[in-house]
Formats: sequence, structure tokens, C-alpha cells
Amino acid sequence: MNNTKVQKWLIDNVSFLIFLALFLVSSAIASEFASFANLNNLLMQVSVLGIVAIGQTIVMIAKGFDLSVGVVVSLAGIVTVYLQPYGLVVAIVAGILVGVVVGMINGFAITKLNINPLIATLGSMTFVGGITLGVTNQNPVSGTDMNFLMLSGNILNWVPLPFLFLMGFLFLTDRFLKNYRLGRDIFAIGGNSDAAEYSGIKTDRVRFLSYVLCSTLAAIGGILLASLLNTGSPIAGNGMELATIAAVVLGGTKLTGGAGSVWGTFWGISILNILSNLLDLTGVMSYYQTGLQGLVLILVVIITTISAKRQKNKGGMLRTFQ
Amino acid sequence: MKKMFSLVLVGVLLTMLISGCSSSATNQGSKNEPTEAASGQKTIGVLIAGQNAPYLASYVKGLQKEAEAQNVELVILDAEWKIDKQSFQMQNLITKKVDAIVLNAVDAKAIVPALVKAQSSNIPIIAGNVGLEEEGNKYIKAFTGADSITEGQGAAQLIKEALHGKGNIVQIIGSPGMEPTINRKKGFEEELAKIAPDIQIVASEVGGWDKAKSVTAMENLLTANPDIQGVYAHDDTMAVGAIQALKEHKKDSIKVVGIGGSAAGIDAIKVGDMYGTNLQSPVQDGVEAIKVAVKLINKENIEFFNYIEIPKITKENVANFTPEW
Repeated sequence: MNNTKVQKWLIDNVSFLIFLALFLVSSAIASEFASFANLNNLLMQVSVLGIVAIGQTIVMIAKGFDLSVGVVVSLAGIVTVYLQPYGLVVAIVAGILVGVVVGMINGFAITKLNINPLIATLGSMTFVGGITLGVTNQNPVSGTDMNFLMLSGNILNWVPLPFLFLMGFLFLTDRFLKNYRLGRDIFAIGGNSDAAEYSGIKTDRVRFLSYVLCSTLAAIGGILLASLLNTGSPIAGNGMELATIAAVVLGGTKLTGGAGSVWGTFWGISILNILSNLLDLTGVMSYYQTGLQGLVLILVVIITTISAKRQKNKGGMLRTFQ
Repeated sequence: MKKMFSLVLVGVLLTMLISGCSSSATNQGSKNEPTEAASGQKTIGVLIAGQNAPYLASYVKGLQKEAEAQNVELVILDAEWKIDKQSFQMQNLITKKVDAIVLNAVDAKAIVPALVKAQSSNIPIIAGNVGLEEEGNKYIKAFTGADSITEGQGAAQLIKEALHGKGNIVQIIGSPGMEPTINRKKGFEEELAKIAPDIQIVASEVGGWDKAKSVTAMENLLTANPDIQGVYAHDDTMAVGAIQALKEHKKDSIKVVGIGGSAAGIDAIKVGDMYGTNLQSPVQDGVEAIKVAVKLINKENIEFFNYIEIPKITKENVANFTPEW
């Protein structure tokens, strides 16, 4: 009995364990890795992508996808930087609104027009991406308000503020998904949409909400990134859609929906980030880097699938013996 | 059982990492004979915007060539055109304590906060190929690359030659707002006014460094200005686009001048479609970056702007040039 509990814990936390292993290996390989400055860098490096990935996790638990997070990151950053002369509050609220609006468009297209999430968000990705490049004429906009940079500064000289935001959002989203009805509805829809519908869940409304939440978090990530770079750039969020999906999968969220956790995603992001940090420190050519990251992704998914299958078989056996 | 899984996993990761590291080490070292292990070998970190761009792929070859000649180790990190990635890579190079950094910026503005943070490390940073404008130049020690003003001037000299000092021309410009666009226009227009006052620039259109766009731009220019004798394009890609439009309209007596010396440009000169171009050699560009970086490491005095030579290519000397990108 006790043994199965341990096994279950190991499987549920496989991404954390891999992270831990990588962390130890990295400390041993690269002498600079465990230095104070590098750890501080690492905290900053996971923050923006981590916040964007929380949203992606919510959508993917509900058996969806959001390919538009990258362009939302870019556009929200641009809008916030552009509107700085009207005051930081106005600028930041407007940046967040970008996320809300794109999320509503995605949600509407997917729930009311019944467009496949992949196609709907691919559409909004190209549409918003095109607008972003158009309004900026491909040029980045520089910030004018130096107070804006404080958003990505260090607290007590060592924890980057974006990392505290990330922790806050992780905690809140985790609570929301586990303890609130709406959160549990997201799992129910992802697990079996028809069954959820029959049991009285307003599936369209919940799904709509999941896309709005996702885009809003992406926008917040975009604002923090703009603060870090003191620039709103039309290419700031390039590639984040796939990076977040990879991290979500690494974190144990099923592509088939209905299972997963935001903390898993956090460890997923941390694994990818630690890998690229270590490879940068050891001077491995970038081409091998992306190759290795792909390999790790595939390996981890294979391991989780195999171990989950075994656990299931064993669990089934136990139940019949009881 | 699961413990074994984690153990196996750690083992696999370890082997991957070690094999990854050692393979790159042999890559670097194999050409340097036994000296690779010699302590005191300096390391230069290189931040490349994206090696999928043909120019930058050849640029990296230039870097590697000169690094080998100078016996320095290179750590080349590719940002894949992601600006956040490049600023994190900058932090990682600083943590690694490289001896100098060559920065080929994805975005000249967005990298500035990372440069500010890099100040305290005292690692000399060089902007390679992409200039950083005034706000970024405060935080770096040197720029190496082509001077867009010189390139524009060279194009003006070629146009003068092609048209024998008299006629009407149009200009196809790169993406507005970018440094090469601004200065290739400025250098060209100022030089032309000086050396060939009888040549008039009758119109300009944006080609945006894009061939297809330039075909359309050239067609519109032709419709609006039938009486032209020359075309100046801010790069060879756009020049080749313009040539295509000129051929379709049977106007191939119009002389075209470009900048770059890309494979397509050199081919067009060989067959006589294009009058001439100004060569910007990516290999030379990379070689210069390492040369200056090594001088900085050795604390030698250097100029802030280190420009590469921009030779002119026309039909007479085209045989001497092999395209690098």
C-alpha cells in the first residue's frame, strides 16, 4: 500500500524530479551554474514564459490549444510602451485589455462558431501578428517612463519581481483549478465534454473563459517582458506558443485534456530553461541546444506515458484484489 | 521500479550532456592541434541574431576563420531572432566570464537594458554587423561592420559611371526606419548631388529588402516615370526584383545598381542584367569583429568605428569575386 503511494508520488512529480536531477547535474558540470548571479538570472528567465505557460495549461486542461499567446505577448508589450505618456496605469490596463479582447475573439470563434481551437488560434495568431507588424512598421518602440522598468527589477536585490508575480499566479491558479467549481469544470470539460454538458456544466461558457484567462496571462507576461527590455517589439513573443506548449506537456498535462497542473508546467519551463542555461554556460552550439531540448521533451513524455500506464495496470490489479 | 526510472533518466541526461559538450569541444579543437588544452586561451562569446539568414551564416564562417587564426575559443549562441532569448544569452555569457562579447543584435533597442546590466562585469562588448545607435553605443567599446554611408556613396559613383553623369533615376529603398535604409539613402543622395548634379532622382519606393515587393515597386515606378535611365536599389535582392520587372516591360536598357554582392547579384552582373554592386563581404565582416575583439582583450588601442572595405563590382572585375551568401 505504502509502496504504491510512493510510486504515485513519483509519477505525479516526475517533472520536478527531472528538474532536481538536472539542477544537481548542472551544478556539478558548470562551476558558474550555482552562483548567486546565475540563480538570479534563472529566476528572471523563467518568469515571463512561466506566466504565459500558466494560461496555456488552463486551455490545454480543457482540451484546447492557444497558438496566439506569442503575438499577444508582443502586442500587449507594444501597447503598454506606446501608451506610457498617458500614465503607467492607463498603459498597463490597456495592455491587459489587449489580452482580454484577443481571448474573447478566440473564445467566440471556438465556442460559438465551432472552429477547431488549433485553426481558430492560428487565425488570430496571424491576424494579430499582421496588425502588430503593420502598426509598428516592424520597428520596436522604446519606453519613455523609467518607472516602468521597476516592474522587472529585483526585490531586496535578489528576487526579480516578475518571479514573485509568477509565484502568485501559480498559487492562485492552482487554488482556482482545484478548489473552485469553475476550475473543476475546466477539468471536467477536458476529460469528457459531452458528459460535462449532460451533468449541467455550461461548457461553452467555461471554455470561453479559459481562452480569456489564457490571453490575459499572456498579456501580463508581455507587459513584464516589455519592462525587462524597455521596448515593445513586434517580435518579442516569437515562438512562445510552441515553447509554452512544450513546457505544458513536459509538466505532465495530457494533450487529451482533463488532467494536468500548473506546478507541473512550472517545472517543465524550469527544465527547458535550466537546459539552455547550462548549454550556454558550457558553450554548446545553439543547433545542438534545440536538438537536445527536443530530445528531452520526447524522452520525458515517453517516460511519463510508460510509468502512468504501469501505475494504471497495477492500480487496477490492486483494486480487484481488495 | 520508479526509482530505477529516475536513475536511468539522470544517466541518459548526463550522457547526452557530456556527449553534447565534448562533441562541440572537438569541433572547436580539432583544427587547432594540441594547443586547445593550453590554459590562458581566451574565449570570445558571440551572440548571433539568427544563423538561418544566409548573410549571418557566412558571417559566422568569418568569425570562425579568424578565431582559428588567432587561436581564441568561440562560444556562439544563436538567438533564433528572439529578443528575450538574446538578452538572457547575454547574461549567460557574462556568468560564464568570457573575455569579450561580439553582439549581433536581433533588436538594437531591446538589447540596451541587457547592455546596461552588463556594465558591471567589465567584459568588453563589440557590436558586430548591426549598429546600436546612440543610446546603445554608450555601453559598448566598438562597432565592426560595413558603413552604410560608404555603401551609398559607392552606389552613387557606380550610377554616375553607368549613366555617364546625366539622366533620371529612381530609388528602391529598404524597410523605413532601419539604419542601413537611412544611411544608404543619405550617402547616395549626398554623393550624387556632389559628383553628378545632372542626375535627378525622380522618385523613390519602398522595396523592404524583399524581392516580390520590389517587383511591384519597380512596376509602379515605371508607370509613373517612363523616362528613366537608372535604378538604385538598397540591396541586391531588391535590385534583382527590379531587373525582373524591367525585363517584363522590355526596359532592360535601364541600368541597375545595388549593394551587397549576394549570389543573385553577382550572377546578374555576370550575365549583364545589372550594372554593378558594392560588395559587403560577410566573411570579412566576421573576421573584422574577431580582430577587434582580440585587440580589446589585449588592451590595445582601437577606434570605435571599424569599417570593412566596400569594393565595387562591375562586369570588368566580377570574375574575381565568388559569392559568399
